[in-house]
Amino acid sequence: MGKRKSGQARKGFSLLEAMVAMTVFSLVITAGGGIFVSLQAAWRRQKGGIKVIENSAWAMEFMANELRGRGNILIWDAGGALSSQLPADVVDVVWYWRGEGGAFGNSDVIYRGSGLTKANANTNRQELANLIVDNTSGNDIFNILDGLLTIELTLRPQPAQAENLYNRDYTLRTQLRARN
Amino acid sequence: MHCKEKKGTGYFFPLSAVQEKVACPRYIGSGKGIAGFSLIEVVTAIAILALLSGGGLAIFSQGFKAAQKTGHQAVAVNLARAAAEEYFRVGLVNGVENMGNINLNNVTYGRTIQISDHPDFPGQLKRLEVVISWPEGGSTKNLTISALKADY
Repeated sequence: MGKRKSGQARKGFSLLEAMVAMTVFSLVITAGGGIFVSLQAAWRRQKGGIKVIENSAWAMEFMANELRGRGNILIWDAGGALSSQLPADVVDVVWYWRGEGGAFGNSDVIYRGSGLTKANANTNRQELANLIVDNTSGNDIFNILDGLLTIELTLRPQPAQAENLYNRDYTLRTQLRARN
Repeated sequence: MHCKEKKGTGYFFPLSAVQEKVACPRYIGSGKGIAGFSLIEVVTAIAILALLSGGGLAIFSQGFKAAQKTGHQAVAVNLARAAAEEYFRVGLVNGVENMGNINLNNVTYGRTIQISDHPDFPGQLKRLEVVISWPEGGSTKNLTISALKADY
């Protein structure tokens, strides 16, 4: 081993070769890791974006469909809750409301329940849409003007965190006539 | 096995080269004819890798664009319905009206409503056509919904 004759091939790597190989390897790993991390972030962002679109579209569709056949729409709690009933039936009242972070549920969820009062409805509540945040426009979730009910929902993939490039707000707005 | 040196062992790792390597200890340390990768092999491998990862990235970015498109479309559908509802409340007069722009999620949606008599039942039915338009990918996208209303 130690006595290497000229012309005979060496065994193993020289220091220089090892250094070059390690440098190249680390460069490749760094680049690959960077790509992987950014891909994963983009993936998460996309997943969150799709989730809020699905969530808000479904909630809008559901509320609009149910409310269109009902009447006597009343807005409560500064636009955060709504009650409505079938025109000829006082008993069957449905409620939609945003939780307040206490007994009426989480503040990033829209609930639906039925009962004469909101407290009654709260006992049989179901989650209709989550990831709700304050509307960026400053409008209420529910607003009624000239017999036209406006519903505006703003959702964010991670409602507890501030809005940023990876955590974008998504707002849907629709209007419908109350059948009073 | 006679270990003789091969010239140009060929591309893409021919099996014979691998076998020879195992069978001939001389092959590893001979200093001559060591089976490294030729330039063309390396270039081909990199090209294939680039194609594969490029394809994956293209699919990914396409998915991203599709998600964005879905978001715009969902907003447009809701705005179109809202516009129709708004006009259902009032008496319908034939004509085209610009209902103004609405800015949602940093996208500006233009709203136009066209009201006309139903071609087969004028005086009985009115036709509403709501067009929502918004910019997307350098061009303008349109979404049209139409509805009928009894003319009374």
